[in-house]
Amino acid sequence: MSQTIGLIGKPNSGKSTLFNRLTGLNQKIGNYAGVTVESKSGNFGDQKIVDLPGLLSLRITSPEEKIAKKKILEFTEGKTPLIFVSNGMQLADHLILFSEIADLQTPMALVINFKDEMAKNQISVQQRELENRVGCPVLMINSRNGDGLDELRLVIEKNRFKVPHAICRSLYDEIDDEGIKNSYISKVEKSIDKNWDENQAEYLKRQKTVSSIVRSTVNYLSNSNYLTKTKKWDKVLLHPILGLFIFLAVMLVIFQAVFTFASYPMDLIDAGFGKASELAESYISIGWLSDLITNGIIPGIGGVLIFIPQIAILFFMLSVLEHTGYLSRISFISDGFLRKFGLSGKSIIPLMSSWACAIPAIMGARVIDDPKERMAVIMASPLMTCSARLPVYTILIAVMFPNPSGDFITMQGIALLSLYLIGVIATLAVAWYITKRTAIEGNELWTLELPVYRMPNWKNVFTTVYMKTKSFVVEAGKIIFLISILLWVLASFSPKSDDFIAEQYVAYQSQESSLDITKESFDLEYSYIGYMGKFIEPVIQPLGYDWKIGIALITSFAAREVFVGTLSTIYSIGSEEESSIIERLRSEVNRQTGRPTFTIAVSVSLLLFYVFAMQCMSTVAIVRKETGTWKYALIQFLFMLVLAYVFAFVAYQLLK
Amino acid sequence: MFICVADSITMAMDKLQEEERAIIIKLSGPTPLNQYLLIHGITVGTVFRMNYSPNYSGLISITVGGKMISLRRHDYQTIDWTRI
Repeated sequence: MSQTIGLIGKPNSGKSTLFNRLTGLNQKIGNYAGVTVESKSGNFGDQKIVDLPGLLSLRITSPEEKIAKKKILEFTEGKTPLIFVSNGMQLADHLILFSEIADLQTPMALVINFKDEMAKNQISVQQRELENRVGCPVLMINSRNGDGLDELRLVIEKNRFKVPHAICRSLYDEIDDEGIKNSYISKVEKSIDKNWDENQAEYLKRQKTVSSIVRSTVNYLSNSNYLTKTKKWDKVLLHPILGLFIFLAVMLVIFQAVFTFASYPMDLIDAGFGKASELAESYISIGWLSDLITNGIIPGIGGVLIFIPQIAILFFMLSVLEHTGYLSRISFISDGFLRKFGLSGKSIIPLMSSWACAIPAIMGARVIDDPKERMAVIMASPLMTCSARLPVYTILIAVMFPNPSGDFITMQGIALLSLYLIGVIATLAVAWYITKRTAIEGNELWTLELPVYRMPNWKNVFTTVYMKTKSFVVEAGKIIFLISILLWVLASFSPKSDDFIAEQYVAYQSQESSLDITKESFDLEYSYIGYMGKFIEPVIQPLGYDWKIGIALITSFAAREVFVGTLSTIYSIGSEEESSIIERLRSEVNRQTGRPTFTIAVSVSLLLFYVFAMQCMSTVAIVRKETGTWKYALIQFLFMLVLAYVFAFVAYQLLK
Repeated sequence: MFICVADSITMAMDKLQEEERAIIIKLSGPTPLNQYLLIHGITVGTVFRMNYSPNYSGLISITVGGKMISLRRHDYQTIDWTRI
């Protein structure tokens, strides 16, 4: 019979590795409704296994733990079995949480993980004796190599879960006229309604009972401290000088991997889809269908798949760092600096990754435990200068500063550096604002556990990479694809007939003062997007932009770099070569004022607009996916748009 | 259990040397913080070992109950301890 089973445990108990072992690639990753807390479930045979967020205690009420607690209470109500995963090297500590859950009196099995490390440190467990003491099946496993999993599979398949002995439940017995009632579950539901002394007394009782169980069932045959090796590594990796160098080197490798190494497969994907478009164009003779496939569907799919290398590489790196234990050391090292902005050390990797692309960075924010901090990183990281901004920046900077001198430091270089710095400052300022000034619920209190160093489990690493990539393609990919098709429709169709546009084109060409404008440019001008560009012209005029720039602003919502391609089309450049575009933009004259269109004021205004504006539908889609609601995606889009408008307006008005 | 108390002055945890052991004698922080520390096994009577307290991060790392836990300065300053 099919049933649901909950997987529960403290952080660093190896719970997720066990979940991956049991369910393989048969998983579903999402979010709990309305929050950024990850929900994971998967199938084991015809059983559904739910991997609940790790928690420290039922008495703690961080947002993530509230969800875990709520689910545990739901499971208890339905007598749904729970698998409690504990770290065998910290058994006494983990059994305190086990005792809290055992007191809820739902069927359970106690899994003791890291069997191999226990053996190495000469720690042995009298399994049957422990089973008698806790009252439910006890299983010794090693989730990393699967040792002991057959026994656990049998427990699941044969439903051998048992309601464990209550440990401190009697503290909550209340006598009234009807007899003895127990108020433990209702007290847990209400969380902390008792005073501190009572909480401490209960904790100490649990600790005493658990210690007695551990003393009588676990043998420590060696006095060796299993942390010794880890501490030796930490001497190097957390060293004030050497440790910082290693940290910077690791960051450089991650940055390089996401930024540079990913560019090779990305270029291949780009070229592959370009070739596919060409082939489709040559084989499909029906005009609109050919256009839909070559300029709508193929680029739409390509626009989703192109992010896979960056996402896969970042999650590979993150998984390796997490599984080895170094991710916590990175947090340890960078915490002091980021704390000034309301963040913790765990934000450093997502933030730095967003220099390459905000998509993997936002997905990578899942390593952050605090929901408020995670939200701050999700909302702020698109302000970092991603690689898609570079084509826009280089073109506009070149328009502003035409002849780079032979000096090592040029105005072009200073301008580019300034844009990067503005991005960093804006990111940290927004993060600070969200963590300090908003009502989003977060963890007010903070600790960081430094796990022991371990070799990564490669199967687990690749499962994580596969699942994260799949969830991006399936969930965010749908939105990106649909928006791509919408933009294609708007750019390809016109409210005017083809004959009307052709007549206008012929009439324009017959004028003496006419510029050399292609039919393609004319089509774009009379498309829905063209009309939208003209419609928004009064709004963007105070920024120094005309309707042509307006069209480029709208089309580049698909992706920032589309700005360059659109300018190339609308100014009939006939090439996307940088030098041709720069020359054309420099010579462009505003027909109304007779002055150059791309003045310093307009260029600075545009640069600032692109520093702050979202202009990336894929980021909107991933924010929607990661936050589980359109609300935050829209808020982010709007506040970035307002920031962009204000800065661009001020810059233009001051410089014009 | 008899505990030999070498000194019982109140000072920040980062004054402990690496590998020195101490026992917590008082928690003077607000109740939510004390509750939070309790969940991590840090309460009056807990014995801990100092791992590291590098200046650059403002964090200290201690070993409690076989786990290496890092605490921020404003939190660990509320913990009174004495060397053992």
